[in-house]
Amino acid sequence: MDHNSDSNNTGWVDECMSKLGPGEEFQPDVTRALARFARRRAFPPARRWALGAAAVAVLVSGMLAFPAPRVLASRCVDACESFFGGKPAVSFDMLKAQPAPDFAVNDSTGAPIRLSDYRGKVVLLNFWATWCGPCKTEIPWFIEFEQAYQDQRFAVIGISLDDDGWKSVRPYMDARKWNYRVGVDDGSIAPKYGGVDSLPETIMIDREGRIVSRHVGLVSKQTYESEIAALLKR
Amino acid sequence: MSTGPEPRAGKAPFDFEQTFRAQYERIARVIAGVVHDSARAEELAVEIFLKFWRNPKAHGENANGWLYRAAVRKALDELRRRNRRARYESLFRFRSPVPTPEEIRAAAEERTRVRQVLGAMDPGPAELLLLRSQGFSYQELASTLDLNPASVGTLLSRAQEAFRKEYVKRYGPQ
Repeated sequence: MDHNSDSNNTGWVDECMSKLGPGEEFQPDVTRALARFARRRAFPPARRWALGAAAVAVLVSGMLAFPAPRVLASRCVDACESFFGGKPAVSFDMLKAQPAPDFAVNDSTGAPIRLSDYRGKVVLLNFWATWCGPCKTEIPWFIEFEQAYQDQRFAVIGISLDDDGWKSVRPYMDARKWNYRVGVDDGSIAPKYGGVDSLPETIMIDREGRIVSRHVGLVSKQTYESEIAALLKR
Repeated sequence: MSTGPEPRAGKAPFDFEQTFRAQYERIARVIAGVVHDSARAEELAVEIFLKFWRNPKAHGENANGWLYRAAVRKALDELRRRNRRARYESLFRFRSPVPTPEEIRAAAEERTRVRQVLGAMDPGPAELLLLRSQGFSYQELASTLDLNPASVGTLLSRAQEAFRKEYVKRYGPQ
């Protein structure tokens, strides 16, 4: 085909365009379309968005009713704050072999627990919560360690991260034969240790007050035992 | 013959349902011709009527023109969206898949080529060609696309030339 002339070009383009067609089999159904239109009109996008947002809000608030997602959310907020606020975040790698950050917190009797008072002792610092399943497994071990090694200048300190503080922690402790000291984090202790992203988290501190190791999650009792034995021998 | 919009006479209250019943089928066909997917075309046609219903300013004399213009734009948008999607999908394929006989046949079809060319063209000329192919007169094209009636012929001629160039670029001289 010669495309040089306008009329030829017009004819050719018209011919091309005439090939666009839905096909004979396509029979739009006006009644069904009107019904669909009525449904869509009754449920406009703004309402759909509002409903979707409400569903997300219900889901999120439902999730936040449980402590673990709440802690996770709190960590996310902290991470965002440090990222966007320019606040330098403390990471555990920065703390290793460094003096353990000091803190002061009251125990269940109201007596202060100050980490610096434990200088000269091997300290097992355990972050835990009453809702944390693996923490329940570890607590009897720590009670045992406290019992077995307290004469060798060893101490366990528990720091609870329960949001409702002593309201949950006190009855939980009362139900067990607790022999080591526990405080409730007011939000200032965990960040000093690089933030506690998951529970349980346990930090071993030597007699010089330096951080030796960190265990995130449940580890074996033997791991703790061998580490405590090694630190007590130093 | 003009199959395009006809002026609405008088100042009687606007009858939306009547317009819907009168124009829906043709609007759906215009879209189906471009997107080649009947179900999607019907869906998009309903979307156009929803937009039309929410826009009282469009319920004037040129309501049908508004509907056709919206239909053509919607169809071209859908076509471009599909082409984009196909491009992105091909980017994430590690090996180019072997086309099925159906795909080979469709690619060779003239109407598939026409769709591809329209999808690659600037929206304005593509709309002009599509509306013209629906039988719109120069006058109707001018009022529907807010053009100067005197320049419709020139614009149409340029659109046809742009179509030819894009076609030749893609598929060689015919």
